[in-house]
Formats: sequence, C-alpha cells, structure tokens
Amino acid sequence: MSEILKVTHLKKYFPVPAGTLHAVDDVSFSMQYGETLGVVGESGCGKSTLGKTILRLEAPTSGEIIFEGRDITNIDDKEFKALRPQMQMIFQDPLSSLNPRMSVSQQIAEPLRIYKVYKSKEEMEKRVLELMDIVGLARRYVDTYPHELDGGRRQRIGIARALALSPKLIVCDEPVSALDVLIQAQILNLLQDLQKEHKLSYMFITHDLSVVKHISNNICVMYLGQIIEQCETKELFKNTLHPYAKALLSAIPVPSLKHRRQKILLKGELASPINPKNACRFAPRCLYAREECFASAPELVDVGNNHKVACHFVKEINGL
Amino acid sequence: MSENVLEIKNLVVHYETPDGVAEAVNDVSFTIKEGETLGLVGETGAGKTTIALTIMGLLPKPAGHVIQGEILLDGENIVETSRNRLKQRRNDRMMRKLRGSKIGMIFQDPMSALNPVMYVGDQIAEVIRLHNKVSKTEAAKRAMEMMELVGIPGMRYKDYPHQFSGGMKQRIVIAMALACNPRVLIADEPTTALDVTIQAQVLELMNGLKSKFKTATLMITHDLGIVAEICDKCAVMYAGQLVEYGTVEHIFNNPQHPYTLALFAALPSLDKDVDRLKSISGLMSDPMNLPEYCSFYERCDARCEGCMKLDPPITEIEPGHFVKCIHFMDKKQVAATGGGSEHGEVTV
Repeated sequence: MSEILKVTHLKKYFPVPAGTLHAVDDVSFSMQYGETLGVVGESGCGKSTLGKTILRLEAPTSGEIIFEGRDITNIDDKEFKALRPQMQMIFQDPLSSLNPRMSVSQQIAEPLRIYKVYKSKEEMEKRVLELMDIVGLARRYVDTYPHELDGGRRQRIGIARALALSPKLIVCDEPVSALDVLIQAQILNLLQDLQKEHKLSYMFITHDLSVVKHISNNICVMYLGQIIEQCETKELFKNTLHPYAKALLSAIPVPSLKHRRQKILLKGELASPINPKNACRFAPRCLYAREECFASAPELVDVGNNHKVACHFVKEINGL
Repeated sequence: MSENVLEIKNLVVHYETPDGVAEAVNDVSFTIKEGETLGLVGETGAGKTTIALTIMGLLPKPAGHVIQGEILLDGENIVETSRNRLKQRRNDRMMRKLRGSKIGMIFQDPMSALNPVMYVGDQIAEVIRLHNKVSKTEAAKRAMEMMELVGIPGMRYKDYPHQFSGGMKQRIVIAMALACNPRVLIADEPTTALDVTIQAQVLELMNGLKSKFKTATLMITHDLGIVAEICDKCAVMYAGQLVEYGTVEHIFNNPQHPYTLALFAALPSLDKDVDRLKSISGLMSDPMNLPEYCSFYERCDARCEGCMKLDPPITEIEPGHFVKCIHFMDKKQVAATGGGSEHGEVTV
C-alpha cells in the first residue's frame, strides 16, 4: 500500500474581530489507499474545517497537502478543477446539501454534466440509473425531489453524487449523524460495500466514537484544532493514552447494563480557539495538569506501536 | 411505597390534516412512579414527541386531537377528549397552571427554549413568580439557589443566554424546569444537541437531581445508551405503539420484540468487533396509512402467516415486561396463571 494523501503541518486560521481563530493548527497525518481514517472530536475542534481544507474548499493558511504524490496546496483553480473528480465529499445534512428544485436524476447527473463525461443524454441517463442501483435507491425515485424522500434515501443521493465521477478519496463529514440507528446501519454497510468494490479511501469525520470504531482503520482524535492522539483503531480502544481521549471514551453512554464504564467527568468546557496560548490546550480541563502543561505545548510523539500522543506526561500517567 | 405519579391509559392521538388522519399515537399505556425515570425510545416519527406534547397539553391546534384515553397526574385526569370548545378552553386554562409548576419540561435545543433578551436569572424567577405568591426579591433569591444547584455560579444571574455555552444553557433550562419542584419532568432529547463530554456532565447532573427532587421523569431519546445509564424503565415505540415495555433489566438483558432486537443489532458496539452491522430494510409504516395487522410485519425477521391476521395486543410475558408480538400471545396465559401482576397496564 502507498500513500494517497499526506498532510504536513497544515494550518487554517480565520481572522475574527477578537483575533485569530486557530481552527486547524499544525495537523500532520497520512492516509493509505483503501484506508478509512476516522477523525473524532467534539464540536468546534476543527474536524470539519480539516476536511474542507484538504479538499481545498477552504484555502489553507500554511502547510502542505500532497495528494497522490503531488503537492496540491497552492495549485490554481483551473488545475484543481481537473483534480476535483478524484476527491469528493459527503455532507451531514443531505437536505441542505441537495438542491431542492432538482429531481433525483438531475442531482446525480450534475457532476457528470459539469465535467462533460458523456456526450449523449442517453448514456448519461444510463449512468444515473446505474449509480442509483449502486447506492440502493430504487429506480422509481428517479423523478422525485429531495423533500419527498426520507433522510436515508437523501443521504443515498448524496453518496451517488459523490461516486458519480469515480473518486479515489471521499471526505465523509458526519454522514450518519442525522439518521436513525436502523438507517444509520444501512448507510454504514453501504459505505463499506462501496469501499471494497471501488477501492475508495475515506476520511470519516464524526463525533460518534462507536461509529468511527466500526468503520475506521486508523483514528485521529482532535482537540481544539490539534491532533492529540493518533493510532490504529484497535490500539486506541485497547490502549487509550491521552487523558482527553480517555475521558471522551468513558463519556459515551453504553447501551448495556453489564458493561458500565467508570466515567471520567471533565471539568468545564472547550476553551476558545481564538489566540490560544503556547500551552497544552487541554490543560485547563485535565485531571493531571501541572505547571509544565501551562508553559509549553506538547508535541505529537510516537510512544511505540505507531501510537502517537501529544501529552507531556503520557508515560507517567499510563505507567509506560 | 410510592404511587404512580403519571399514568397514561390507552392514549390515542390523531393529527387531522387536509390529506387525511395521521394516527400518531395508538393505544399507549404506561406509568411512572415517584423518583422513577422512564426512557421512551423509537425512530423519528414513532410518536415520542406527540406523547410528550399531549402530557403537556401542547398538541398543535387545530390538527392534534386526543381521541381516547386518560393521562392521570397524581390520580387526576388532565386530558380532555371532548371537542366541546368550552371544555377545551377550561382544560387549556388548567394546563397553563400545571405547566411549569407540576409538569416541568426540558427541550432539545436550549437556545430556542430561552428568551435571548432576558437575564437568565430573571427567566428562572419568572417561573417561580408565576406559580407562587412570592416577592420579587424572594423569587430572585430562589432563582439564584436553583442556578447554584445546577452548577452555575449565582453571580451570573444577570447574564444573557448567548453568554453561556450549550451545556450551560441546558443547565439553565433544567433549573427553570425544576424551579417549582414539579411532580413530572418531561425531557425531550435533552442532550442530543450536546457533545459527549458535556452530555456526560448534564446526565450526571440530572441523575443527581432525580434523587433530590423525586420527580417522575419521562426521558425521550433515541440513544439506548442514555436509557441504560439513567432510566429505571424503558418503553420502545414503533409506529405510534409501544412494542416492548419493561424495566431496563428486561429490555437490555432480555429483549424479546423483533424490533427491539433489530435496534440493538444495528448499533455499532464499543466492546465487540463486528464486520457488518445488521440492519433491517424498509421504513416505518406511514402513520397516515397504518396496516390493520402488526405494523412491524413488513420489516420483521420473525414474521409468519398469523401476523397478517391481527394486530397483536401488548402482552405481559413476565411480571412487568410487556411485548406486543403475536409470538408471545400464548405465553400470556402462562404469565396469567403464574400469579397476577401488580401492574394493570395490559391492554387487550
């Protein structure tokens, strides 16, 4: 396997009246072909901005994005348009990402039309029906409009659109958060099937750790714009090292009476990402915080087993 | 020792629209005792929120109608099934007194539940003043006590809602709901809009307050994890009906209805490794067009010919554990001969 995407020291800052908002602050990771990378964190941690910046829907402030060995950080729009078919996105709320005045067939055909993939209308219509079959949308819905369909079917349109141009990388931004569990299971199964069939790579952004555990090979846990823990999925759930990741994991309500976890309750809430100090961003809420944590920011270091953690006292806390 | 604070008997609620009648709630019965929490789970459109609105007397008018049934609050009926306008208006007046005093509410989105141009403290004091004969200063003092109780410093009395984060706002809504020490608390997806770590804080708070205030809580949620964490009883709803109802031990350790089993199978687990989630195809029946027979038939793994013949009644399969499925109808006799149940909710 080789790398499809490599991101190094990526930063995305937004100027706001109160200063600079560090939405994504010095994030580095790489993704292999056919891999699913899960990105988890609470709202405001910069996970969606990260996804958008990688697809260049937001211009990065600094850093490098290398897609299939090519630096795409600063290429111009024309060049990027040629690249766009290979990287697509699935959004959280299908109703707001679909055009309410377009029928299902028009929605799915739109990317094909923009890229002039087919010369004849018949060919395009054939491909639309084919895509509908792939995502499990019955052909009778071809002329319906988004408002006539339920959430699960709408999300299937979103997936069909993303697949239309046969991409290699799909950024899924909370694709199942708005769906009921039974529909969520259907969509997750569909995404997994498509990945196998079309050799897709997913960057899967979500706040739901149980979903991310189910679908990802590797996981990045983000906190206030930074990755604080990064490793293989199994490793993370077996051997959680960062105090924030531990608290996050313990906070999930488990639908079982037997496996009650000891909860780690965090004090306070997410600090502001505007003009952060050079310190560990989690320190104000951390149970183990000491002077050093407020004095300097920890780096993301490999503690073995390809398990990276950003914490000054990771070894002490976990007795490594 | 404790009596039923809230008792819902054979509730039927319809929405009458120009396109037809939507049967939102069909013959639902359950009870909540003092200090007890009932978790009501189900998909979008199953009728969970309609039940909450009916209890609060806030059904959207003119479409919503209670066709049949009783809601007993401390033994007194609080719903009006008659369409007589005078009777309706009398009921509305009574409900206005009950809401906020005897029935507290917590909504999903705290921002839309708070007044953006009013101090949060005054908003809590307003509830107290409305239902109790107290002076302004006394109400303010009690509002401040409530704020401290939910973990917000009293000095933030004169702050506006936008100055608080989502979790803090939800705490204020909880303080408002509990300000008059209600008998019943209705929480409609109270933590859905919050992050997991904040959700854990709010659930912890609600759990602590439960023992202090001894309110009967109806917790509406789609998250079975939350039910496992803070509820005593659980009711699973599907297409306007309860399909399974019992204590959390019944539902989580011994689920019986095919729909409940499907819900558990569809959840990605943190403990087990599953390659593929089990999901059932299809969608919930349209409440405008419910079948005569079991409404889960089309999606059911365990369906048989008999399922098409009748809509099975909810049946007690062990004391306190009710399942609405034809496959459990025989066991009813077994349960009946094995000593009567202390609950009387079997609706045949």
